Amino acid sequence: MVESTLVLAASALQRRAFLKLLRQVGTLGAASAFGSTALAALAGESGSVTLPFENGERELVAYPQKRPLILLTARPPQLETPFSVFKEGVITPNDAFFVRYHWSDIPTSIDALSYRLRIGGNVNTPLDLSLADLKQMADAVDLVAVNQCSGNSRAHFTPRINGGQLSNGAMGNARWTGIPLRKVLEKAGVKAGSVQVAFNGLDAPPVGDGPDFIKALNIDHALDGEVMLAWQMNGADLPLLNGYPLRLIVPGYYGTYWVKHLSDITVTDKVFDGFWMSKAYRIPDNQCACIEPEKEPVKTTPINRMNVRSFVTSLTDGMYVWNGRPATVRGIAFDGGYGVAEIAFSADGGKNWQTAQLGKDLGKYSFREWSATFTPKHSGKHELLVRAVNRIGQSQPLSPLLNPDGYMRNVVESTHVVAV
Amino acid sequence: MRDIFVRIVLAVSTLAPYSAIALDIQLPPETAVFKPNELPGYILAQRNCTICHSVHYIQSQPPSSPRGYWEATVKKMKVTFGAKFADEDIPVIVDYLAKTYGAERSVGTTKPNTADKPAIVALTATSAPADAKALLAANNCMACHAIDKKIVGPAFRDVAAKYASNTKAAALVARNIRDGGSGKWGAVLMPSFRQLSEAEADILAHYVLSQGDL
Repeated sequence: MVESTLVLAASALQRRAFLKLLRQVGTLGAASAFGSTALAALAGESGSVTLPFENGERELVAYPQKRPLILLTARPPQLETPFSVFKEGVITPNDAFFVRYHWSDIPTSIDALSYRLRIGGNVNTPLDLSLADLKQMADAVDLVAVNQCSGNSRAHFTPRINGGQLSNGAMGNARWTGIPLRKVLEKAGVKAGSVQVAFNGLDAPPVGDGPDFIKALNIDHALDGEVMLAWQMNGADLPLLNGYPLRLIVPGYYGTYWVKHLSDITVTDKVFDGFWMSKAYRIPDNQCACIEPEKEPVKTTPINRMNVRSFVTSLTDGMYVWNGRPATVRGIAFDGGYGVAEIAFSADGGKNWQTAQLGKDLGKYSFREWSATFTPKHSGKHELLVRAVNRIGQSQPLSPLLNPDGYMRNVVESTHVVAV
Repeated sequence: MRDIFVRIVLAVSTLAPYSAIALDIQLPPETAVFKPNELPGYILAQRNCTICHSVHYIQSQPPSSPRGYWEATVKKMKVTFGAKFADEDIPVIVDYLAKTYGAERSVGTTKPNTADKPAIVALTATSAPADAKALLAANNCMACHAIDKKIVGPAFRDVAAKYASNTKAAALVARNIRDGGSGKWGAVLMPSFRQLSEAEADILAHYVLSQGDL
């Protein structure tokens, strides 16, 4: 009985989503942009999309607590956010937030009351905490922060790089609610000589003795007061597939560190050398985290802070704009936590640049909205470019920086529109 | 309409002073399958790769992926990630992947090269009479199943219990073994074991169903 009621509810939700989509198409027609792309997106919502690279055909599938998202893999679930979601607003809705797992033995039933978080290793007092214990341990804090997969946009590299073939939707921005990790570590009492803190969640290798997905942060980082244990995103419990009931939030760092269904925190007296730190998620240990094509890096280091990125969200490739009329272009930008300082926009493929208007500041770890206006002076193609600079002067390259695993892509993005 | 739903189970326990609240999700059925062809690695890929992950991992890779990528990846699955296939199966699986999903694929129909067809482990017990234990071993059934506990697939004991009062149990279970599928025991796809004869599937079905008697 419960099931059939909820199935009906889901069907009503889908109908609402469909009507919303129709409204968007309506407003697009009246605003500065219109055209075939919006209609194609409408058709695509019914079941599939084609991402702009070879072998980019993907199903759209509604997973529990999720709207239809781009299915990269079913087992374990890996879901990408359709890029059109990012024009809905600067906060990514929970039901559209991307999903990434490494092992297929994922929890599908979690009892919040019996859930425990253990803190052990190099501490004075090992702890075994319930969610209620955590919520009482300190005042809850809120932080808006971007979570982006290390391999976001990997499929856009030429030549192609193996790994998860993601377009630009393995990222999202949410308001996370929880307590600082520092509070828990202080309660346990970190012993002198501690080097790192390792984090494990309830997901596990399905069979055999594959290396469990465990990530580690340096002790100073873990104690910085910003790394969080969060039980809510955007004012609601975490969706199961985003780490219910508790996940690690590592502001400014790639999503690989944001361990889901967090169950064990272990303070170590040496560098944690598990597979997912010592062998996977490594980048060239140099200023650009990059290599020459076809070369192997001499030395590598664990991937860490995100680089600067920016995107146009209000227009996509192939959309039409009115010739001779001002068009407002909107988008988002972010970095690894220094904060976006300035955004340059070009409507002519980089010959001329103008400074974009920055939107509301939700914090240095958040997406930052921006907008710029341009008036097409001729009919035909226009290449829109956007390039952000952060508060310490880091920016984006005009051609992509390479690394062996296709991480950290942050090339200046270009969007081709047509004035008519 | 996919029958996907989230159940918030409110179970009032007489032992606890308050209700337990569990978030319980049901994943959509897995539908991706390996592209069938006559390469011997097709069946090995079905039998091994899908124990741990859906076929999407393979089919979404760039079609330009060279043999070296597939070889390194298959080896990584065994050496680093603990997959249980035999060393001699590695080149067979790699050959199938490179020719079906990678740079060596032929557009349109796949023409397997049978000239240097590598030897593979016998899929079925060739010596009569067929023996359930030999069939289980030859088809790697115990990688995903156990007698008394769920691994990737259901425990044989649970299968036996489910069909305990069904007079057509053996025929149904034998068909499920040969056809594969998902949804009866969860979202994970059981590959089809079409290479088994009906007689062999029947032997396995009776073996599985007999585990309920213990």
